[in-house]
This record gives sequence, structure tokens and C-alpha cells, in this order.
Amino acid sequence: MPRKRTDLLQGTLDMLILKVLTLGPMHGYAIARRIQQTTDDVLKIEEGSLYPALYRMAARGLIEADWGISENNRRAKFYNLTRKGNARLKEDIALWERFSLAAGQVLALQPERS
Amino acid sequence: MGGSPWLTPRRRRALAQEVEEELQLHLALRAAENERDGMEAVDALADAHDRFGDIDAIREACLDAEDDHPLRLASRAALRVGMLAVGFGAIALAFALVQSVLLQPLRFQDADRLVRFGEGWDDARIQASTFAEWRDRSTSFEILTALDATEIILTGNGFPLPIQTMRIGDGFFDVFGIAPILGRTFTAEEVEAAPQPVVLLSEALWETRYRRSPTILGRSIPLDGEPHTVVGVMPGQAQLSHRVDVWTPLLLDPASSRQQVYAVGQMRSGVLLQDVREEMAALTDALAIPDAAARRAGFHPLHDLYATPIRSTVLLLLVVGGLMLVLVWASVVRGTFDRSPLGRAQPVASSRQVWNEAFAVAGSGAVLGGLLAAGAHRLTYDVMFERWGSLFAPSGGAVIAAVAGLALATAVGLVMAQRITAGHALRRWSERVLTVAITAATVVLLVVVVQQHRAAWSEPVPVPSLEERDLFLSVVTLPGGLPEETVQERMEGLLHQVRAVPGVASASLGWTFPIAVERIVAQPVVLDVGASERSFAATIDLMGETYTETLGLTLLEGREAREGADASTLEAVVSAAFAAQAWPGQSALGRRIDIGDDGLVRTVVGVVDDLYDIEADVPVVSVPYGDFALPRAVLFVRGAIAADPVVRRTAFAADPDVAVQPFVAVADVRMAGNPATRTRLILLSVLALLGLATVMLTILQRGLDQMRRRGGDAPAVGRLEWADVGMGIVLGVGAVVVATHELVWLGDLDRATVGAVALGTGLVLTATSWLVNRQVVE
Repeated sequence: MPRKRTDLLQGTLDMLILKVLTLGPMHGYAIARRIQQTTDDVLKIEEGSLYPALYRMAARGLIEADWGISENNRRAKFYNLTRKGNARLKEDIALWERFSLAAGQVLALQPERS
Repeated sequence: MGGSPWLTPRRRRALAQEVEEELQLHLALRAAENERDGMEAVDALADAHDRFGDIDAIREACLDAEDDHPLRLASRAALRVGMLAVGFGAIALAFALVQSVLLQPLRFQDADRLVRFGEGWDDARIQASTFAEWRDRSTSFEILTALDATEIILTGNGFPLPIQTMRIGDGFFDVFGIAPILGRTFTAEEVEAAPQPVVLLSEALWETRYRRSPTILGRSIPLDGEPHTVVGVMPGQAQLSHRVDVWTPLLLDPASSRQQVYAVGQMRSGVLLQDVREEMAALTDALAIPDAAARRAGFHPLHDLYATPIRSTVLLLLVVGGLMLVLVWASVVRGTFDRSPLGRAQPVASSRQVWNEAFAVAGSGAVLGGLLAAGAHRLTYDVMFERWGSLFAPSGGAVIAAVAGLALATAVGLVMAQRITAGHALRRWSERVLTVAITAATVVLLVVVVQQHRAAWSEPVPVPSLEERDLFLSVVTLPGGLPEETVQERMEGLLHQVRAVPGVASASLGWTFPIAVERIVAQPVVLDVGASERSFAATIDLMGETYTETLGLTLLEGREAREGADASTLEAVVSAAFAAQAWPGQSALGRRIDIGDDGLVRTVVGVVDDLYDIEADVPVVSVPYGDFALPRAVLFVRGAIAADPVVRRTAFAADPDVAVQPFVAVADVRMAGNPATRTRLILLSVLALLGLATVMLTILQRGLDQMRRRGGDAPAVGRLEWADVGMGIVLGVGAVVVATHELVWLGDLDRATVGAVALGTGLVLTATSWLVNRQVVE
């Protein structure tokens, strides 16, 4: 089966949401679109899966939400990064960088010629 | 969103609306963008839904995500551990009781070789002569010993104290392998043939009365007025099944045809019960024991004596413990069902974390439950089986293994539950089982509570004939073995002193306190002796001088009965019910009756108002206390005074050998609900109400789940709940019927109470279900 989509690990999705919110308050649809556009549609998430993650992060105090008006003049919930969320983002990025560096080193291995 | 840690139903509802609004906005924005990209409106919306995923599952996952609040997570974990602790504790306690009472031998050395020997209708006692023959001739026993129980009075060191005494034969403690904690037991020379005035104290008496004095050995203490030398102190285990304060030597008189004793023995190693029975049959033939067949003498394992009476209670506790564990499992597993986002994405936690958490929760619950069971173990024996706890060996290892096994199964169950997704049949069935089981348990608890409450809280049935105010009673006991004249003289002397106490209006003696008698035993009375003799069943009571005045009892006809000067002048007083039933429409005065005291005839000289409130029409005949002069009587005192300690001190000063137990107010005696009973009832009531609330919450929770999943467009869920509740009620009523049949202490089955509780529970739960459904549909 062709792998057109990249499944997102749960923790990775949280990190991406936190990172997108550093740009400013956004509603759920905007967050999903920003992730897809930024990654040139490589990271296509099943849009609905974003919301449970948003609610979970809000319950943990990583983000907070306020009601506002969306671009189509409907009531929308805008999410903001909290200080706790910002700290978590820094930790996640550091962890991700270490992980990708390590993974890159493994992938760079060349077979030894005897 | 992350603000308040507590999710009330109202807040959950508001949250559901917020989630709905937010998800619909997303779909609308995506559809609008699709349209801008050139799609038709219908296709644009369909594509939006396709990209979005399963909206029902996402809606539920959003609401579940709220539970990720740290306080909610912690409280949920604590609740799970607490519930598992209760479930494990209940089953561990039940296991421990079954193991120690039914499966293990008693906690004495060579307990499987201990037997009791009895004859007669209850196989309890045997004649001293039979015992002596047996002990001398039997070859089956290592030791065979006799015992008897009585109550004597300990004087000196404060108020005289009636104490429980066990009189024991030679080798009694050797049979059980119990050694004294201080001093020694009796020697062969000190018992049976010519008992010496020696005594062994219980550890409890040594502690309370003598403050564990190490110099107690060799000290002389007066028992029934006679000095006895203390030779030892016995541990609590020596009390066997009933409270024993002291042990004294048994005077065994094989020549007496009236002396009856209890007998226990230790069979020789290798001897079987069947061997003993065969030997007994042979000896019975050889000795030509009269009425041997009629007396049905027999040997039985000692274990049977103690385990059989509580077998059904212990098994019932096992059922209750198992039921509680199932309830807890159903509740905990229900709360552990898969809550991962979308119900099919990767779980938040790794597999290792899931297992670790499951083991942590199940393990903590098991450890806490084990501690609870250990704490409740002794308490259960004390509350339910009096002192029988010292008879049964503890059963630690097997119980620990069983609880560890259950904890392991629970951990596996918790992990499996996390993989059971929404809509799975197991979810529905666990909820149904939960509803049925809790409804059944609630009905049982409510019936017990209501039935007991009626006795404990309702005002006592008014007895117009009794003036309760300022009326106190106590039990007085004189030393045993005193001549009848002496007993009467000392009781009268005591009454004289009590009546002289300032504030005492009157005082009298009786045999029982009729109002508080729960089971009135009637005996045959012959009416109209010498004329148209016929038998009549009545309760016999004793009535001292000024009895009617002291109790405020109305004398309807005639006068109080006086002590007879001789057999020809014996008198009696009958109750109004007696008079009305024995001689309807005629006067009772002057009638001649025989109450069965060796053919003596009494003349009825008075009729008193009915006093018994248990059965309003119970016929009573009262005879003068002086005709019998029993060394134990009920002392009634009327007066606006503090009967205890004023009157008690006076009695003690007047006669230090008379034991006067603490006075109690009659009004308190009549209230079946003393403070301890009421406390127990309050706890039971709370449990019953919690059960009812749990079922209501389960119904509510099911309604909320429906709201979540269907976004408010839910079908009625009532029919399912009514079936579950109905089944729970039927099971509960069935359990009550079985329980009242097996457990005498629950009292007789009150059909009206059972019916009212079943109907009330059904109505409350049906109303809850109806209201929830209405909310869901709205």
C-alpha cells in the first residue's frame, strides 16, 4: 500500500500544536491548516484527531482557550500557549533534536568493506 | 477548561455543547475552503467529513480528554485503589474466615484428636457417673476431662463482681496444650475428688482487677465469700468459646445421679473416631448403662462443636465478599475502558506504562485490602462470634496467595479493559451487571436497615400500665450455696438499705424485666385445682414487696401476693390478660392454680394491668419473691436520683458480698437502639444510601454517555435500566429471604418491609431513569 500520509505519533502532534501556537492564538481549523501548509502537506493529519489533543493539553494546562469570532463570523475557540506549555515545548524540541540526531547517525552508517 | 477539577453533570453538558460547536465550525470552515477551491457544496461538505474522521468517536475523545486534569487523574487513581482495597479486603476477610473456621483444625495442639462427649437431646452434657466410668475404662484416650460453668461473686478490691467461672477436671489444659502465662495450672491432687480452694485467673481479670500484679500468685481472693489461693494466670486462648474470668477445681461426684458435666478428650495417636464409637458401644453393653439408647450418647470432633454453628454465616460472608469484589471489578474496569483518542489511535501511554500502572493500582489495592482485612479479622470474630476468634488458627499464607492471585488477575483485567473500545458488548454487559448487583445489594441493605430502624428508632410501644420515669433497674447476685433463709434475709436487708437512700421513693425485687424480654417462654399452669382442672400456658414471674408501687403498675383487683407462711397459704397475682383468657367474664380472685412447683396450690389474690409489650395479650402469673428466694434477682428502684453510683454504693456498704451490677434507666432498656446499635445502623444506612446513589449515578452516567455519543439525539435508554433494576430487586429480595432464613440475628422476615423497600427502590430508580431519559431526549 502506498504510504501517502505520515502518521503522527501522539507526542509529536502535541509538539507541533505547541509550536504552531507560538505564532499566536488560533482556532482548531487554523492550527490544522498551518501544520499542513508549513509541511507542504507532507504531515497530513486526520483533522479530527487534533481536537482530543487540544482538549487534553488544555486539561493539563499546556494551552488555554478563549472564545472569539472566526473569519466566517462564527463563534470559535482560540487557543493560546501558556507558560507551562512553552516550557514543555522547549523540552520536547530538545528531545526531538536528540532523537533525530541519533536516528540520523544510525541512518548515515555505511556498510564496511572488508 | 482546565480550571475546576470537578466535572459536574451540568458542566459536562455545557462542555458537550462547546465541543459540538467547535467541531461543527471546523467542518464548516473546511467545506467553505473546498467550495472556494471549486467543489460543489454537497461534495465540499462530504470531503470535510471524510478528512475529519469519525466525529462521534472524536466527540467522545474530547470529553474524555477532560479527565486528564492532574487532580482528576489522581482522584481517579485513588478511587480505584480505594475501591479495590475494599473489594480485596472483603474477599480476603471472607477467605480468612473460611480457611480458619472450616478448613483448618482448631488452634490447639493435636487439634484433630480433640473430641467432645455428650448425651441427651443436644449431645451437650453427660452424667458425672457415666463420665467417671468412661474415663476409668476407655483405652482410646490420652486424656479425658470434665468441666462445668457457673457464675460466682468476687469480692474485695471494690464492688463485688459477678464473674464467669469454669470448673475444670484433672488435665483440662493438657487436652488443649495451653500453658499458664504466670504460675501453674491445678495439680491432680487439687481437683475432682477433694477440690482445694485454688483458682486460676484469666489474663483479662488479672489486668483489670489486679493491674497485672506480679505478686498475685499465692494471694488469697474471696470467691462467693470463701478465700481461694491464686496459683496461676491463663492466656486469652484458654477462654475457648465463652468469657471465663476464673477457673476453679471441679468437684466430680460420680455417686450423684443429678450432676451433669461437659466432657472433652484427646484421642490417642492413631485412634479414629470410629474406634472410639465402637469402644463406647462395647462399654455401654458391658456396663448396662440404663437408658443408653434413649440418651443417644456420642463422640464428636471438637471442631464440629465450634465450626458448625457459624458455618452458614461464614459461607454467607464469602458470598458477600465475592459480590463486593465483583462490584468493585465492574466499577473499576468500567472506568478503565479505552479512552485513547479516537478509540483507535495509538494509546497515550506505552504498553509498558499501561502494565506498570495496572500493577501499581492492583498491587496497592491488594496491599491496602490485606491490611484492612487483617484489621477487621479480630473485630469480625469479636462482633459476630464473640470470643471464638481464639479457637481458630489464623490463615495468613493461603489468604495472601489468594489475594495476590486476584491482584494479578485484576492487573491483567485493567490492561485488557483499556483495549475495549466504545460500543463493545463487554462495556454494556459490565454496566448491566453493575446495575443488577448494586440494586440487589441495596435492597438487602435497605431491608435490614429499615427492619432494624423500626425497632431502634421508633419510640417504644407505650405501656400505659408502666410509669417509666425515674425507674432504674440492676441485677443483684448473692454468693452461691447459701441457705434459702439466708438469701432472703440478705436480700431484704439490702432492700431496706436501698429504700433508706434519700431520694429513693420505692424499691422492689423481681425475676426479670418483663418489658425487655424478647422471647417469653410459657409453661403449663393448672387452673381451678380441685374443681374443673384444666391446663393453661402462661409466663411465670417473681414479684417482690411493693412491686406494683415501684413499677407504677396498676393493681386492677385485690392486692399484691404475700410470701406464704406454709404450703397451704401460697398466693399469686395474675395479669389482666391471664384473668380474661382463663376466666372470661368472671373474677379471678380466690381461684386456685398450680404453677408446677411440685404440686403446690396457690390462690389468686390480685389482678394487675398487663405489662408485657412484646405480645400484648401474654398471660402472666406472678408469685412472691420470698417463696423462692433466688440468689439472683432484678432490683427495681424508683426515685429522682442518680441510682448509679449512689444506690450502688449504699448496697455495697450494706453488704459487700452482694454483687450489684450498674443501674440502667428502664427507659433506656426499653429502647432497643442503644448507642452501639444506632452507630451500626447509621453505618448500614449510609452504605444502603450509597448503593442507591451508585445505581442512580450509573443510570445518569449511561444517559450522559448516550448524549456524548449521539450528540443529544439519543434513543431512550429506560427499558434496559428497568430490566436491570427489576432483576436486581428480584435478586435482592431472594437474598433477603435466604439471609433471614440462615441468620437468626436478622430477625423474622417482615414481608411488609421487604415489599415496601422493593417497591420504593423500584420507584426511585425508575423515576431517575425517566428523568435522565427525558434530559437525553431534550
